[in-house]
Amino acid sequence: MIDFQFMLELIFMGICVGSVYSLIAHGFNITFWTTKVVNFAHGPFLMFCSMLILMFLSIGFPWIVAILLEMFSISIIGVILERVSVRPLVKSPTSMGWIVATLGVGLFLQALATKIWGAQALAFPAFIFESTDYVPILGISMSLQYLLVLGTGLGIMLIMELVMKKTIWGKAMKAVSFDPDLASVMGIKSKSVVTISFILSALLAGVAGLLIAPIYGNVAPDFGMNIMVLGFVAAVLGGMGSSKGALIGGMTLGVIEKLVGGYISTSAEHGVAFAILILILAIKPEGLFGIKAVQKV
Amino acid sequence: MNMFKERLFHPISKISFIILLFIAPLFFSDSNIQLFIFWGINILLAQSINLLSGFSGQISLGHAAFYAIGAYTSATLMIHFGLSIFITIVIAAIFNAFVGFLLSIPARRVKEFYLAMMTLGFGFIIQEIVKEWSSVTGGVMGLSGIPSAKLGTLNFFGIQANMVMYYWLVLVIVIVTMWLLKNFVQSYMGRSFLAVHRSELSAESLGISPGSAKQLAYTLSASIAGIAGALYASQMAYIGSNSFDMMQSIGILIMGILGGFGTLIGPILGAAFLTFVPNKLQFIQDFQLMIYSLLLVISFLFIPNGFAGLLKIRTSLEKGNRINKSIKAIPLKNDGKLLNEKQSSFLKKSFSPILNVKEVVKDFGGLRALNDVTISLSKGQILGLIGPNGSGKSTLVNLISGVYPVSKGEIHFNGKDITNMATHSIARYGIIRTFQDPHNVPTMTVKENLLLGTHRLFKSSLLACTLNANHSLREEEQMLTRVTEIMELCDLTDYADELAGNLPYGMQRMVEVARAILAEPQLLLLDEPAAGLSEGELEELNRLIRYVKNQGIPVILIDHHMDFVTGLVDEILVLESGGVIYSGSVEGMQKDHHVIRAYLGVEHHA
Repeated sequence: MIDFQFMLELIFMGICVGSVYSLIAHGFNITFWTTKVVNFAHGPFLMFCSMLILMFLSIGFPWIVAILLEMFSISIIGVILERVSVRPLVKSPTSMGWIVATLGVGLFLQALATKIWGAQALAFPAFIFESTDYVPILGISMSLQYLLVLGTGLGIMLIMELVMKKTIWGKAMKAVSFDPDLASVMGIKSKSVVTISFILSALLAGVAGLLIAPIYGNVAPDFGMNIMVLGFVAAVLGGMGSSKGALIGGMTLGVIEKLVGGYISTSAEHGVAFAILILILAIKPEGLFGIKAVQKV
Repeated sequence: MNMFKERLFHPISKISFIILLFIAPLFFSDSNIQLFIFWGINILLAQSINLLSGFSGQISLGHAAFYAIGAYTSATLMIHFGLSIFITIVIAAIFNAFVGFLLSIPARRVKEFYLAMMTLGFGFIIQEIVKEWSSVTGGVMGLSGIPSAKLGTLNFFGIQANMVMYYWLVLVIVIVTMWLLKNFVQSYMGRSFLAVHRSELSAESLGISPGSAKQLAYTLSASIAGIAGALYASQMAYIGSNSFDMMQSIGILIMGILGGFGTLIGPILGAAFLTFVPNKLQFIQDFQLMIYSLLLVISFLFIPNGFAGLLKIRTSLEKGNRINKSIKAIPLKNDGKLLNEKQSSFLKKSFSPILNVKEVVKDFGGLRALNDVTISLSKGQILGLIGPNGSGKSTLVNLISGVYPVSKGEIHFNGKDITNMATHSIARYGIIRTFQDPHNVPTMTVKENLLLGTHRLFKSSLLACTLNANHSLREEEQMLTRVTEIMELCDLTDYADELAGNLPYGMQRMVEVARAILAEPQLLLLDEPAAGLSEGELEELNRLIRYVKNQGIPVILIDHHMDFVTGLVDEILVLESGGVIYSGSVEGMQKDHHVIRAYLGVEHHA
C-alpha cells in the first residue's frame, strides 16, 4: 500500500514538472508555427529569466515588480534574437545558419550569466508558498509549490489555446504559418506576426523559468540547455507544432522521468529522456499528435 | 593572388613545408611544442566535424562526445592493460567508428533541428555517463596517470618518448589523415556526401542512398574524433568530464565554421585560430565563451564560408589533376565510348516492353491525382507525356521514380516489380530522372556535377578510394573521359570548372540532363526539360535527346512545348485530371476531340 502511495506521489510530481516541459515545448511550437524555426536559445532564455528575477529580488523589488521587469527584459531579448539570428538566415536553403546563430545567442546569455553571477548554482527562494507547504489529497501529500506550477502551466496553455483559436491574432498567426507571403498579400503584417511570436515564445520561457526555479531550489547558468533538451523531447514526443501534443508529451515525459528516478536511479532520469527522443524520432518522427510532413517535389 | 596560390600549393612548397614542420620542434620551447600538438589535435577534430557537417551536411552539436569516448577508451586501455599508444589509438578509432555507426541508425532518419537537438542531447548523455560511471572513468575526479610524454611516462617501442617525439607522432597522424581525407572527398563517395548535403532527393535520383552516405559520414567522422581523443588523453596525462562539455562541442563546431566547411584547408585554419589566438591573448581567455558565442552568431551572417571562403580556397572534388600527373602514360581500353559495347547491344530496340505501369492510382489525402493509368514502354521508344497543369504528369514520373508511394497498382521494370521501392534503388536499376527545376549541386563545378551522374557506375571500394589505388584512379579517369565527351556534346566544355550555381538557368538545365545521361540510364524520365530554355538551347536539348534515342534508351518526356515534343516522340499520352484521355500517335492526337476539348475547350450549343 505504501508502495502504491509512493508511486502516486511520483506520478503527481511527474505531472507537475512535466507541465513545465509542456510550457517549454509550447514555446518551441509558437516560433515553429510562424517560421519553422526552433529557438536554440530557449533554454538559456529560461535560465536567464530565473537569474534576472533573482537579481531584481536581491535589489529589493517585490516579486510582482521583479517578474514584470524580467518579462519585459526577455521580450526585448526575444526581439533581438529574431532580428539578428532568425530574420537574415531563415530564407537560406539549409537550417544550419539559424540553428547555429540562435544557439550562439543562447550561449552568449549563458556566458553573460556566468560572468555576472558566477558559474555556481544560486539558491532560488520559494515563490508564494514555502517548499514545506503540503496539502493531503487522496492520501498523498501534495506540495503546494508543485500544485502552483501545475495550475499556472495549465492555465497559461489554456489561455494560449483560446487566443490561437478565437482571436484575430491567433488566426493571423495560423495564416502566416501556412504561407507568410500569401498572408502579406492578404494584408497581414507577416513580419510583425513573426516578431510577436518570438516575444510570446520568450515570455513562455520566462514563465517556465519562474515556475521551475523554485522546484529545483537553485539555478546555475548551465541548467537552461539541459532543460531545453527535455522540453524538446516533450515537443517531439507530442508532435512538433501540436498544442495538445506539447501538453501530453510534457506530462508523459515528466511522469516517466520521475518513475525512473524513483524506482531505478535519479541519474538515469535524463538518459531515459534521451532514449525516448531517439526512439520517437526513429519510429514515429511526427510524434503522437503531429502531422506527417509530405515531401514536395 | 592566383600566382601566389599556385606557388603555395606547388608540390615542392608542400614538401618543404612538411619538412619544416618536422624539424621545427627541435627549435621550439616545450610550451610551443605543446601548442603545436594541440593544433594537430584540433585539426583532427575540425576535420572530423567538417566531414560530417561540412560535407554531408549533418549538423552536430555534441561532437565532444566522440572526442570523450576516444580519450577514455585509449586512457583506460593504457592504464589498466598497459597497451602501447599505437594500439590504443587504433582501438579508439575502431571503437568510435562503431559508436558513430550506432548513432547513425537513429540520426540518419532525422534532419535539421531535430538532428541538432538530438546531437546536443547525445553530448549531454555521454558527459553524464562519464560523470556517473566512476569505476571506469573516475567520475568527477577524472582519470589521472595516463602515460604521457610530458611526464616521461610514455614509451614508444620501449624507448621513453619525449615531447618532440610525441609531436612527430601527432604530425604523422595529421598528415596521413589529411592525405586519406583528400583522396576520400575527391572520390565518388566524397561527392555523394555533398550531393546528400544539398538535396537528398536529387542524390537519390542518381542512385545514391542518403542513409548509407550519412552512415559512412558518422562512422568516419567519429573515428577521426576518436583518434584526436586518444592523442589528447596521452598529451594531458589527466582527463576529466569537464574537458568534454558542451563548450568543447561548440569549440569544435566553431573551428569548422570559422575555417570554412566543405574545404580541407579551412578547418586547418579554423583550428589554428582557436589554438593560437586564445593562447596569446589573455583577455580572450577571460571572455572565451562570450567570444565563441558571438562568433557563432555572426559567422553565418558575415563569413558564411569561413576563412577558406575569404581566401577563395576551394577543394576540388575530382582527381583529374592527380590522374594527369601520374597515370597518363598507361593507355586505356574501353574509353572514348559513352556506353560500352555490352550495354549498347543490350539496349537494341525491341518490342518487348521494358516498363509496365499497371492501373496505377495515386491519392493525396482525399484528392485523386492519378486514376487508373496504364503505360507500357519498349526499348528505344520515346513517350511524350502531355496535359494541362495539374493533370498528373509529374505525379506519374514521381511514382515511377519512387519519390511518392503508389496508392494502388503496380510498376514493373525489366521484369522486376519496382512498386514502392526506394528512389535510389530504382535509380540503381537504371531509371534516371530530372526535375522541373534543376537539382544540381550549386557548390560543385559543372565537371563535378556531371561526375555525380556517373555515381552508380563506380565500383571501387572505400579503401581503394582513400588509398588512391591504381584501379580506382583508372575508374575515375574513365568517368572523366565520359564527362569530357558529354561536355563537348553539350557545349559545356568552357564552363567545366564553373560552379553550377553560377550558371544561367538554361545551362543548369543542360547540366542536369547531361548528368542524367551520364548515369547510363535504361529509362530516362525528363520532367519539362525545355521549360525556360532559349531557342538555341532548345536545339541543343533536342540534339541531346536524339543522341539518347540513338543509344536505344527509352525516354518519357514531359513538356508543354508542343513542337518540341511532337518532333521527338514515337508515341504520346495525354492526361487530364489524373486520367488518360488519349494514347497513341501524334497525328491521331491532333484530331482527337477529347484532347482538343481539354486544351482548347469546346463551345456548347443549346
